[in-house]
Amino acid sequence: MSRWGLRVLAGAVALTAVLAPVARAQQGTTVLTGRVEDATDHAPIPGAAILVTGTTVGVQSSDSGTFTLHLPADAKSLTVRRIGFLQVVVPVTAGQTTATIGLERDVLRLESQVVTGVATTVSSKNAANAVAVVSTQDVEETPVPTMENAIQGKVPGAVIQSNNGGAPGGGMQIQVRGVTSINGNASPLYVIDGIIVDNETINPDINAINQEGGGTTSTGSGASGAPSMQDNGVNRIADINPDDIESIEVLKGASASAIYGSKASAGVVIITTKKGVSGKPKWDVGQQVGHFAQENTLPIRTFPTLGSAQLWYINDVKAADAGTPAATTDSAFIKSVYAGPQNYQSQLFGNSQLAYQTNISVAGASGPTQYFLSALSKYDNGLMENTGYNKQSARTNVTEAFNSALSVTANLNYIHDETRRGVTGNDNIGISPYNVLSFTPQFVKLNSPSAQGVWPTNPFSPANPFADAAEIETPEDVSRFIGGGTVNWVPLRLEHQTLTVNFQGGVDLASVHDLLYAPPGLQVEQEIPTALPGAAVANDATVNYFNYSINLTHHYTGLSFLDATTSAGFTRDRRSLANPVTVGVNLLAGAGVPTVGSVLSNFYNQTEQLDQSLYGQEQVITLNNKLTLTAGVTAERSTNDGDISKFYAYPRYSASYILPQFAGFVDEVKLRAAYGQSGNLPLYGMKYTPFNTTVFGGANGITENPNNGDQNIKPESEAEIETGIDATFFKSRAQISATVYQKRLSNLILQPTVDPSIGFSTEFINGGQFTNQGIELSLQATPIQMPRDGLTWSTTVTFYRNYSVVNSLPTAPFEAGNTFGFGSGFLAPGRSVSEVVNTNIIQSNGLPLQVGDFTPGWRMSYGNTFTLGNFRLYGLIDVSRGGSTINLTDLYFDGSAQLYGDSAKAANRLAQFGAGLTPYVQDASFLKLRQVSLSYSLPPSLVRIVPGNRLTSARLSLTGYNLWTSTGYDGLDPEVSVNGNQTITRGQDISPFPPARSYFLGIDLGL
Amino acid sequence: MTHSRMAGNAGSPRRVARLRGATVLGVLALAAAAACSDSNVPFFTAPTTVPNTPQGIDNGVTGMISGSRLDYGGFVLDMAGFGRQAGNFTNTEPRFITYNLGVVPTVASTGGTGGIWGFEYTNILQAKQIMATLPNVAPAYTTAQLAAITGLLQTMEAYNYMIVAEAHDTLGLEIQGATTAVAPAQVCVKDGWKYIVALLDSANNNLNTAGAIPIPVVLPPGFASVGTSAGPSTAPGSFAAFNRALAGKAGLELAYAIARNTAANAPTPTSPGVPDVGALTRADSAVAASALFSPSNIAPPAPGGFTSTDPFGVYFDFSSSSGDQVNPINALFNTLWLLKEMTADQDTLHDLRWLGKFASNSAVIQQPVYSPAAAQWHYAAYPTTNSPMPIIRDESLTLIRAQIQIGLGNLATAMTYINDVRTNAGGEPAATASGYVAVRDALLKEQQISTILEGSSDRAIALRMYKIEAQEDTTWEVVHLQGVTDQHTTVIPIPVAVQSAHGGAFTFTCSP
Repeated sequence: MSRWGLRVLAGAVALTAVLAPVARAQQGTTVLTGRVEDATDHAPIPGAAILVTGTTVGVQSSDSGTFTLHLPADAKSLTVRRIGFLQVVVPVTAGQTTATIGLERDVLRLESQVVTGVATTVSSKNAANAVAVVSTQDVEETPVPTMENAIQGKVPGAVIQSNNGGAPGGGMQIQVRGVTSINGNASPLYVIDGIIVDNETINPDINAINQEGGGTTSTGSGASGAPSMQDNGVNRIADINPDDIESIEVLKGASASAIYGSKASAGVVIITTKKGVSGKPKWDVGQQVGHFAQENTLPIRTFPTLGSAQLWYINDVKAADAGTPAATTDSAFIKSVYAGPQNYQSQLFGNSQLAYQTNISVAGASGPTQYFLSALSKYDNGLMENTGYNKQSARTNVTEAFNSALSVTANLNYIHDETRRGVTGNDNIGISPYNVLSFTPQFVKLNSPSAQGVWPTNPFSPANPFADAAEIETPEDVSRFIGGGTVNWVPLRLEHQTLTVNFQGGVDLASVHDLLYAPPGLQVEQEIPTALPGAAVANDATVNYFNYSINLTHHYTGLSFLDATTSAGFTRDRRSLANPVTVGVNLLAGAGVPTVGSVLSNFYNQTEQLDQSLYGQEQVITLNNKLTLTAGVTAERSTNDGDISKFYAYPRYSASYILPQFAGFVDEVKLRAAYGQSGNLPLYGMKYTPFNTTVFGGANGITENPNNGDQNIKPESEAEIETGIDATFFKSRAQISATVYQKRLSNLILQPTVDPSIGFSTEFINGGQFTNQGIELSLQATPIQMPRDGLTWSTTVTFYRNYSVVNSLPTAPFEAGNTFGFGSGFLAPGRSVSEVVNTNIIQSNGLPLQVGDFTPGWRMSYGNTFTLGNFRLYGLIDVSRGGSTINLTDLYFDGSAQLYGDSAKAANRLAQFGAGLTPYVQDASFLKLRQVSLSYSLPPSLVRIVPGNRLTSARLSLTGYNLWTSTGYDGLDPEVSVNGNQTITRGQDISPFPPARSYFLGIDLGL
Repeated sequence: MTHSRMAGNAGSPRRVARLRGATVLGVLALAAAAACSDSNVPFFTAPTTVPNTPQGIDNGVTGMISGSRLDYGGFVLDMAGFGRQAGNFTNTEPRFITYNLGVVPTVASTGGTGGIWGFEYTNILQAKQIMATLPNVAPAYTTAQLAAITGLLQTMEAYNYMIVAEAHDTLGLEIQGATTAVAPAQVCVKDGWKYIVALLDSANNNLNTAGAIPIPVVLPPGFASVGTSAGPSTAPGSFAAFNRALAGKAGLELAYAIARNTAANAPTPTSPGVPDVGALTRADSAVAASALFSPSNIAPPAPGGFTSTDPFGVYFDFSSSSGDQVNPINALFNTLWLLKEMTADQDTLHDLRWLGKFASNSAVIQQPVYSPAAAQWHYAAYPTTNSPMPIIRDESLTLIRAQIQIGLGNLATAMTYINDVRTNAGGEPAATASGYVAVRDALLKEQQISTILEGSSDRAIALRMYKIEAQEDTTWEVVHLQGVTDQHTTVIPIPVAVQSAHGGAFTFTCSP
């Protein structure tokens, strides 16, 4: 821990301690009873927090909105807040015994509690960071496969990209405020109800079937392969049920997330699940039915007549035969296989299954026990036959208040899901659908087997994609239990100070099981040159996370000008992975497990990581709630570090100041600034140089690892400063927020290519620095708010631009990332960290020519909500400008059989490629209509038709997701990334699973 | 300190005592937790140093030889392309055609281990690491055993250098320093071959010092013909026989590297140039001293391909067993097509090598736009995933000796060796040729079919030696494929990683 950080913290604690003894003496109390209600319709508001301003004295409103409060004699006002409503401060007078408090709806959702520490929060009005908060309404707007889809386009500063297009089950990459690491973890930390949860990606080992990464495995290309990043596995946050989520906060950088130490440099996504509320049980039942359909297709050549097919074959494929006697044979061959024009894309990706989602939940309270129970069952059809995503989830959140000083919360969540994603993406045997389609003219009937179940043989390619889709099984079965608990003990609660001891602990136990099976009878298996047809994989991964924290929080309000919160704590977490994989090839017909293969290969991966940290933080609100100051420091050590006993310190400081009101139409203007440091741990094993293991001639062997580990490796460092201004206008009808930030990443974990002649081709080292600078703007407004007419229009516009530059490197510039070589990542001082270069063109400065950038220039989203009576219409448009995707799907078509629909464009690209240019690095700008939802809430008169008044609300909805895209990109989807989780080289398109759009019709009932 | 009380007894002495107790407990708990440090987490699934036991050395040697296979498929495929013998017409990777067959200029490999470079130097490093561990092995090896293992490792080290030198030819190579902290020396190919020949000679000395003792480490089955004893090289089964075979090949390449280093001495398409006689003479002696050299035992290809039990050849084995490598060329069975030049040059009806090695390819050709260059044949001598691949064997060794004799000007002797191969392996009548160009072309014709897709890669090497890449390479000219300009590629560029490590360009000095 740095001495400076300790001094600041110690000073803050001492200040509180010194001030505490001079707290004012208090007099007796008055009992105040009251009611909190909606200012518009006067409906009671349960669960509102009513706090005597400047004290720790407070209560919550009951189910009927009522409350009883012991009012100190010197109380001047009450502060009342409730999520979904604007906070109010209501004056009280001496002797006042009743109060009715009306709250205005927070249409723009301007107010919330944002996390400032492991056990502390602050009102967003006082927050010093631009913390993005996504509410339950935003999450539930449209049924989507995963929570990441739900926040796509809703978090300024976050670029959310799908792995492998529209493959069912999700699989997303989130990048917050630019690239944050080259070789370390690039995924945000996910925290659910205080518990760090698993977001591992277990690659299923599609490689054993399509050999996409064959050459890099220990068995070489051929019989079998180990799991590869190109399997495009699903990251496990996909398991979380979006409908259980109350809110999502995204801490975007170290200035906000330093409290999470060396896990926070890529941002922290804090998920709060729904909890019980006081009052009688409230049931919610939702049913959605819909469909996922192909969003886009490639322009593939068609053959309306036999003659057109014959001409194609003679002129474009067998050019040497044109005008020769062989052309007669060619024509006869085409005639023998011509079955009329086909549309392979619609046939292959036209799975007509329905998708559905059923939710049921109940929230309520019984005496001191508050509870929330939920269950989910959903199925998302995949576009391709035999693909889909099936999930069941059950959650129990229970809070028991034993007395005013002790409460215990237990959150239990069990999830089961099964994902079938088929075989797409890169491959080395010619099996991936768009790879096959690049060689197969659309006039051969391939899409149905004979009456005997025999699939047609594709005469133009080694695979029949329809047979592969139908017969190859790719189920991934996940069982996951996330259990967490919180014990809150308040050993001291005085009028102006409380001491809270908080314990949070939890486990996340996930079991991921893949059982892949490619039957030996398939054409593609028969044509595998290894003559070992049939492949099966049993891939079992067990991921265990345990973590807990002990936190002491002292809240002091003893001085009228001071609200101070001091916290300190200890956290510890352990993560482990055990992942045995068995691959069997040359399978016995009729059985789909690896043990029936005549050739077996085994792989095993095991990792473990133990971390512990200490932290302390002081948070002060003063000057009549206008100035908020926070200082804290976290010190952390990990077994992934070279020195496992060394603590690395991450300080954090922030301030916000609310300006005095200076114009009538301006409600409030807040200036804010924050600085913080965080880290990024080395990954497991980076400090070692392990030998690779091999078997040769039946004997065991060890082979030198081409990568040299670093036994002294340290965490990467991130220092972020952000400043901003938030201004609220016209009685909370509009808010403008602007944030600029600079995020400096140093002490990078680099893996430069070294002169391979030393015996190592790469090595891990710490060093170098790059910087992200960016701006985030948002405008939220309610241009129309006519409660009497039931008309409301609210709008939100966000804009985000990030600029990155490499400041220094400890080595010569080098290629970085993981591409296929038709455009590469490259690190060089003075240039973008995520640039795409053409290594064929070396400039006069010795560096390759930049031809693109993997990250977009800017992103913008535009959301609108219209409410008219009981109707509500929501739409979200997502715009991305700049950024590059390497489109190797085009390369498949261009270099094969002249089957791309725009032959001139294909020829032009191929000519450029032949000249050493990079025509496949393409602009990935787009405009997408991301979401539209239209809902209708039945009026009470209709709701009451149900006997017994059992129905309290009913809502019908029609929603759509990814409905329309405008882009100049040549491929299926400019947002695609089909080369696994990547830090800097994300946008790669190679025969992906096509993008999906979805439509759902839903009904939600409140009981 | 005075506090007013809320409802209840907040602020009572008991309450304050509880506060103090909780605070003290909390602070103690935090301090205790912080003091509790974790033990190191090991790397679970592999050792991180060469174990200093005989078993560990065995594992290291096995792994080092196994590692020498990692680039093998790529190397023989590249060299078969450069020799205009075969190409991989796969639809998953157009660069096999565009680069190897000269459609576009070959681009420097971008990968750290790519470009027939990284794996070789990794193997060289591993050989050094094993040798550094040898003195610490317990129980200790005898002096003879140490010499045998050292000679073996030096030979394999030299073999890896040979692959690098052959892949990159005149572009140069690097000589690894004694440790990873010492910068490798950039050398021209002539000096590289000098180093290799000297290393092989040093290894041979060690093997001869060890003498006829059994090799103290287990060698893979493909090394059975040289796995019985350390030396001498004339003894069947000695590892030194493998060493001398490599020394003969290396000496030949040294002799021509010396010649090509001086323009006046370099061969031209019509003249033999002035290859270094000393190097050729030592190379001839080395081949002659190798028990693997046996022209009389050359035979037509056996049905089913090569076998590791060949007493006159050294092979890399492959298998589909867990952890092993499969034959990398077998995996290309349906996409690896011969070039039409092969069918034009060879006797496809009678030559026993043709009949034994090639089969009609009924698969649909992938990359159809390049199909006019391809012949409807594929290589069938690696019929299974387990098929061994020759590193060097008597058929190639005999042609190497023929090359040595051409270099020495003994054209008649060269023709004798050429016809040994032609008649014994091909069942073809003996050829007659006189004069340098005719004998050279006779040699090239036999190399084209005798060692195609084998590790010796003789034809591509010979095309460069004799400076006839453009003359022999007519792949695209024959088919007149629109838009294709033949680059006559026969070398793999120095990898980008190597160039970058030297400021963006690989430059070297060449000794006089």
